[in-house]
Amino acid sequence: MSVENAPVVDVDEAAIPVEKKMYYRFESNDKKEFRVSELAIQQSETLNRLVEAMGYTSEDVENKPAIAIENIDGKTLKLVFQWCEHHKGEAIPVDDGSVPKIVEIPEFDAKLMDIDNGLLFKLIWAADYLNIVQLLNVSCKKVANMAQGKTPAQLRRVYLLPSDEEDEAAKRAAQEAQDPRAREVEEEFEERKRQGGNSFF
Amino acid sequence: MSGSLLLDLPIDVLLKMHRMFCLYDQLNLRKTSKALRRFIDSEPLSYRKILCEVSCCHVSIIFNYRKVIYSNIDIDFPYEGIDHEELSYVKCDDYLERALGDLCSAFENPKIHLKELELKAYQLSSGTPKRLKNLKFIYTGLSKKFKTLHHKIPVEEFSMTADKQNTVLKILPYFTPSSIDISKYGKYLGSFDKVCKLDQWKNSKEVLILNPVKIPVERLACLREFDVKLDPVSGEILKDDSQFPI
Repeated sequence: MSVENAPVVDVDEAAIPVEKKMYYRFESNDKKEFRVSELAIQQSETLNRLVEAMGYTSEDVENKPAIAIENIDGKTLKLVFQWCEHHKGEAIPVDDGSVPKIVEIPEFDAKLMDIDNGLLFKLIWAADYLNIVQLLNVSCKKVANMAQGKTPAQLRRVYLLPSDEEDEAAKRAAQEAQDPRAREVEEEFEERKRQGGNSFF
Repeated sequence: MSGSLLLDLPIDVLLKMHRMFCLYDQLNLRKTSKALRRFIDSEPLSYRKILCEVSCCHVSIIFNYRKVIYSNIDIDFPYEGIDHEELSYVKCDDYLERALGDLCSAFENPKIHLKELELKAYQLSSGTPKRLKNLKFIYTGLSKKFKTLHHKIPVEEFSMTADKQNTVLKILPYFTPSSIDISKYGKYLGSFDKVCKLDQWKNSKEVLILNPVKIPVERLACLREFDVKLDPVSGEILKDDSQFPI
């Protein structure tokens, strides 16, 4: 899909600038385009550095192609930018390394993250990739909260965790796929041991 | 990629998230898979206190701020100061084994460092023999577990209920406490001659014993603070030197 034909998703209609503000255009890996305010971009250290390095003027952001974000799809990127617009201008928290880490999830964020697990984990990946500290905090907290009161069996289902047996089987399969000859050698060795040989060679 | 939502996350994200799980959830996550157990055991545990209380029909353990009630019957106690969200129930026939298992899981982590550890009997008069039996079960299980550990567990405030010196000797040697608080279970704790020879005793700054015990006076010299609290005692006991040794 060409940039001209790409759907333009305004993340926050109410935020259409009255005064002259710069709105950058970004494109997801499935060619969805987003306009995001300069102030909202500051929540993402990665994007903020990127636009600073590009040094676009107001004309450039309109005339040049949208900035491509290769690793994130449109559905996830929409959530990311909605979050950035809502929290624009807010201070970026500094991690003091405290254990346990206390994080409160604001109402807006809780509603934004009322999504299926697959999309929630994509949001975490995106927040980490774009280095959006507070979005990463709240999304991690949401995932941590999902564990509350669950038994190990329920946790396996929620987080799609393999049991020890499945884990071992997957490792063996991976090893065999990597080196099919290794398995043959091992079987041959076992066979010779059974036959009473004390040396493989 | 493992195909797991959690395990496939970047390591820096997993580290951040690890600090947000409460202790009880971490213990349950440890049981789900080898990979997660390895990861959790390689990190400092994000909790500071374990308070375990044993009764005749339930065990309650506070892991940091989360209280977990283990029982084989429905328990509906009012717990002051604890929100419903911070309370979990584990109802099963083998509730003692489950509680012991969770405690053992916590102590397995070589990086555990507790501010407060309390192992005690529930202070209600009913069900005393069963309560003592349950407490002994927990102590015996913990003692077996501790023998397999290659580390001592640092704890600032160590507190336990014991019926005799040997019970203390089963548990205390596996900790490095700054202060020790031992309360009686039963009539009198009796002699403490072996306990006060332990390094834990010598290195402790404060000791609180809730009942008269026989302790050589030279063993008190190393302590900054030593406190013995006396229950009311009858005239007969006071006349009997063997029962009231100090």
